[in-house]
Amino acid sequence: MAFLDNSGDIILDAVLTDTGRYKLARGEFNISQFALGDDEIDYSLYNKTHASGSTYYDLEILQTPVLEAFTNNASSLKSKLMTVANTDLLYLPVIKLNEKKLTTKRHTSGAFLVAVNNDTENALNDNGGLTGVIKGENAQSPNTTIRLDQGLDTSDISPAMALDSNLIETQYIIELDNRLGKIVSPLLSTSFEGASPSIIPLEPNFIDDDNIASYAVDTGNTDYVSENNSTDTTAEDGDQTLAGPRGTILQLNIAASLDLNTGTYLFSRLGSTDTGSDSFQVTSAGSETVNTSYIDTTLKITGVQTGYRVDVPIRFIRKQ
Amino acid sequence: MSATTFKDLDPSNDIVNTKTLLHEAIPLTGSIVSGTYAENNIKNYAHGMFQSVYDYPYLSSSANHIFDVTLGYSSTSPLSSSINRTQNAKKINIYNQMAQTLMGFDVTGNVQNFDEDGDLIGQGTKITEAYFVNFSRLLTKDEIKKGTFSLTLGVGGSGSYNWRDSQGNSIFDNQLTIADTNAQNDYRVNASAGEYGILYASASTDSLSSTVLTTNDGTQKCGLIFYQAGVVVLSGSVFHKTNQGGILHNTEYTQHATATITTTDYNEVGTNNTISIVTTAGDTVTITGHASATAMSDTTGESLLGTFAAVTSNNATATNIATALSLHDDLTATAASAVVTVTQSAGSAGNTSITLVDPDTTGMTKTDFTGGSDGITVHASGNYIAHDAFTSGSISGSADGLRARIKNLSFNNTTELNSAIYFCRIGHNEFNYSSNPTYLNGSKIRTKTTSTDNPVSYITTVGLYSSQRELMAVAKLSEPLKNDSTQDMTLRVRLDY
Repeated sequence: MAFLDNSGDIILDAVLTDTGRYKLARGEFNISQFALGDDEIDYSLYNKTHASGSTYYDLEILQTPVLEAFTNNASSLKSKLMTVANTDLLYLPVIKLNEKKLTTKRHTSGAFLVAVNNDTENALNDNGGLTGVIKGENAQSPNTTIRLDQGLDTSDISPAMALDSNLIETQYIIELDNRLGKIVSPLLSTSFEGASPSIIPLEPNFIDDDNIASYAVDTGNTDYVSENNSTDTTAEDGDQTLAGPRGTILQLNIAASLDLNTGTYLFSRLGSTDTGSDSFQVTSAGSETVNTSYIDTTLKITGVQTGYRVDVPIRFIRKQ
Repeated sequence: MSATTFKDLDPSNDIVNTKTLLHEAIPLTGSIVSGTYAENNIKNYAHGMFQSVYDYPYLSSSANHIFDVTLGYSSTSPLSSSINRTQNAKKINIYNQMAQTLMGFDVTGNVQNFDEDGDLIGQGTKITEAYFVNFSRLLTKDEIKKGTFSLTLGVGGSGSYNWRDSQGNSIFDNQLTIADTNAQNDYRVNASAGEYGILYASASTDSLSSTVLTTNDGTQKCGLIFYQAGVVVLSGSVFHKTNQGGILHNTEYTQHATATITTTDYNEVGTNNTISIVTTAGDTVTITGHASATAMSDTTGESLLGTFAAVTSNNATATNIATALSLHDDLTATAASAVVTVTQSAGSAGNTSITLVDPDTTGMTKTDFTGGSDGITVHASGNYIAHDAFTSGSISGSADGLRARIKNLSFNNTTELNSAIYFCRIGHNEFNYSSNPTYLNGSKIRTKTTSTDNPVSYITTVGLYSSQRELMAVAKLSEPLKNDSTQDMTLRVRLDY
């Protein structure tokens, strides 16, 4: 998309998104709320020490060129503005991936690996298993879990202090490519019937035209969202990743889709193959070289109240 | 109140629906329609029912279809009952198809013929032979704007392709301007294809002959224009002379030869001075100077004994000469001061000489007849288009003939924009913080030094969401908008459908 002409009056360039057109075609087009975004803004350009005074603090920000609107619904409003009644806030909470425990760490490749079938799970988990591998077919414990902590990530404020209740994230939006996987609870195991528990995935709120499924979980979904009451001040040594006051914890797992579990079509179409010389090659704990096919994607997690968003890299992996 | 990133729109106050009309000017020059692309932008079909015109050679992917041309006549037309008609059935079929689509059916279920003035109940003159120009949706959009259609149409020349007839006259020597004059205030709604207007012809100012029309007061009806359908129904009468049932002038296409006679010294003009003129019929008309009488001996045919009074002054003598000559049926003469202008009654045969017999001191001078022409005819064959095109011509061949006569064509189109306007109202303490990762530095807000500083955020994007928080539409500001606690703002987002 080109930049908008910013030489004259401020104009609004509005387009329907692909989802909007899709809904329009189905007779389901209805707009009931709005949000504001600032995707292009780099707030680090805000210069509070400008020699000419406060009028000039945001000079560079106001000169930021703005791109034309994207029609892809997933490409816009990645960062939203939020309303907080308290104007005296100096700190805002963030959502941060918690990798303090072995069971919540990413793989050394930088992504969480989702083994899409039993063979792959076994190959990668021989002799104690690899770090950062999520069992995509058998999601029962023990399993790697994706955990995100919400709160203030600053040592300026003690974690013993309570986070402003208005800033506690109570609802999260989780987005994942529906062709690849589904969101499941990290607390599976004995809670389900059968020797090999079946995986009951979370129901998506909707699936857009690009096959991106959107899930919503809140504090009512206690399998996923829980309050973080820890006041551990030795965060680096404990299981806490945030240095300041804490809000909630989001935990989830990913189950592989049936397409990935049973076939290689999507791996051929969307993914790649590890070879012996490839840096992404996975070596199992038993020092066995496992050649794999994989698909990289991103798990997007957004706090509904604060609009804060974290992208978690995910690699769906299948033993060849 | 918990932090939030969404704000509900109040359906009664924040959402307004409007309709606006957008107009574009569509000019089509005749050189595009025929000429520039050496007919490579003209597509004819094996079925021969119509011809398509593109704005570029049609084999190119850059070409856009701009209109189709076809023609036909009603089964009630005298032409339809004649034998040896080329594509007779197809021409009738085309007419019926267009008539039933555009005009519909009468109460008995018969196809309603095109009516010249749209008065279907009054059963006035019907357009039973017509050209059809069907514009593509690309040009007309939702409809043609009423009162904007204009077509400059050449009605001279002969043949379907030739730009000049055998006498050297261009197709465009005589032109009509055809327009839906005042249609914005006067149009019809009694057809099945929506609103339509009446097309009126007037003589184009570019015409050589100002008398191209029998009646040139802008009231000559010559077709219909269907605005929503984007179809022009052009009556065959635009190529017909009045005595053939059309609107063109019968005979005034001939240019009459003129000559002058100037009285330079009336005292030297007497009974031995004569003026002899050969008329277009080849008859000689002679008038002789006289002391007092001004008369014409025979007012038709040869006339050798006329007289004019050479008295009083040069001007008076010139007036008497004009009076005497005008008494003959084949001559018209007028005097202006001492100059008599004589006009022959027909075309090229009038380019004759004047013989002055002036034996004494010169009392008169003359110029011979010039400018007489038979040439400027509507069609060399008399009624080429309106007859031959509908009878012996094929549809595509006759479409060629019409295209070649289009000099300029223009109209404005109309696009109806149905708009939903969303007023996104931002209170002074709303949307005051950002979730942008750069907004924080270790959870600390970059734009604040102390907690009491007013929060500042910058808006670049407005997202419109469904109740399920699906992003339905996005609006981008052309530059970042500073949002602080000192002012309320309303962003007006308009979505057009």
